[in-house]
Amino acid sequence: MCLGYPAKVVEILEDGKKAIVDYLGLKKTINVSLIKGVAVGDYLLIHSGVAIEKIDEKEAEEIEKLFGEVRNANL
Amino acid sequence: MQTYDAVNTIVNIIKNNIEKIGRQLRIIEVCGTHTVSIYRNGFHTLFKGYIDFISGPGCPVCVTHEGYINNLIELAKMNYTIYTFGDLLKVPGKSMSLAEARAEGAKIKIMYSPVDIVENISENEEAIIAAIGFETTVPAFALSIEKVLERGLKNVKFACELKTIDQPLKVLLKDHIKVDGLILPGHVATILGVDGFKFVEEFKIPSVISGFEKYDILLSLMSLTQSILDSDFTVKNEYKRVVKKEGNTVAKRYIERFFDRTDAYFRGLGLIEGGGLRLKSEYSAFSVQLKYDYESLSNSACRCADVLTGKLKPFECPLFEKVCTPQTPKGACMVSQEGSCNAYFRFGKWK
Repeated sequence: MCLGYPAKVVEILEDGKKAIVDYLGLKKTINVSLIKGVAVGDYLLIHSGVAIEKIDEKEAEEIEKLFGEVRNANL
Repeated sequence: MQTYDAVNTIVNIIKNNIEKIGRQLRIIEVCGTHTVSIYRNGFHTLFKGYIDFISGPGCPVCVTHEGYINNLIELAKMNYTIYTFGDLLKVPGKSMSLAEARAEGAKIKIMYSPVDIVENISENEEAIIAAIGFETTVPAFALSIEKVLERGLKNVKFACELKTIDQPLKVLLKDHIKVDGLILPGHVATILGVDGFKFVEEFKIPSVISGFEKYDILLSLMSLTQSILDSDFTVKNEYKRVVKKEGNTVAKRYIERFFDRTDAYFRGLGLIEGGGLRLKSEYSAFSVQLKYDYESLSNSACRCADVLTGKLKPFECPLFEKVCTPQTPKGACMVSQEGSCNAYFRFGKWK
């Protein structure tokens, strides 16, 4: 139930309360009222059609660096 | 090959930590999404003999009692349209599930986002939104109520069975279960922050806030086993790319603006003081009065309650795999994709 997915902001809609995000090529309009200062290019965590937090790219990159292709590893 | 080296290194560090501790650890993953990630990725077999994973009460569908389902079905019979997350559809009520009620003609629709529903709903549809979830989902319902107010809608009400995570965790740790460590729910922590879980430190049990990817779980287990080794009871944050110390302050303000604490009934734990959220009195016009008779909640052979409190493994329930399967669930832990019975059924290699 508490699933969240990361998606990239591609367009801020007029009132700034909504944004169009891209998730694996899928475009979706979501509510961004809970996020201060959303900008195009930001990565957001989406839950139930609402962005609940910005994703810190530096932190995400560090983990990626550590694990590289870990997603494909057969544990 | 660098990847395998990184994974193997971390797995070995975790196992070495546990060997130093000198016994198999009991670790509770509070959140249902973690349960799925642990089983799907095979961590329960990878760490067999090292870690006994116990699934906690952090799956909203699993802790929802049949009284709520009965109320929704009654409301559907009164010709309201019920909007619900798909997860709730198969949860057994007293006489039927929402899915069965829908098959008999009740207007039950699946929602992806309550905010989308209230933005697009017509003013002529008498609708009730089934509001279930923990603090991750509560802000979405708060935004929905704000939208209802903005649009001046009189035809939408909320059936609130929203839950908080702190009270049930306190009850579980105090009365029900002895564990060595906790994997804390990353997306509830996104809202509440590391600060929202500081209370766990009082129990003198190490804990870690974790993300949901394979490598998140591995990093969290590395951190948690180190904390257990050092008897370090500080809540650790291994989901820093999302979770802040103070959480999402805007979301927290939204929760406080619309909701008050209330008592709530958790399957497996019973009635918990302050374990739920209800709409504040000034918004009561948008809230459906739910009628509960906790005494009469049916007592089937389903052992969900014992599974949710770590007293029983899913395969130890007499119904498991025999009459209770994801296609024919007898209890919420098998209904929900995130329930431990469902995860065991799909990914468990317990024999």
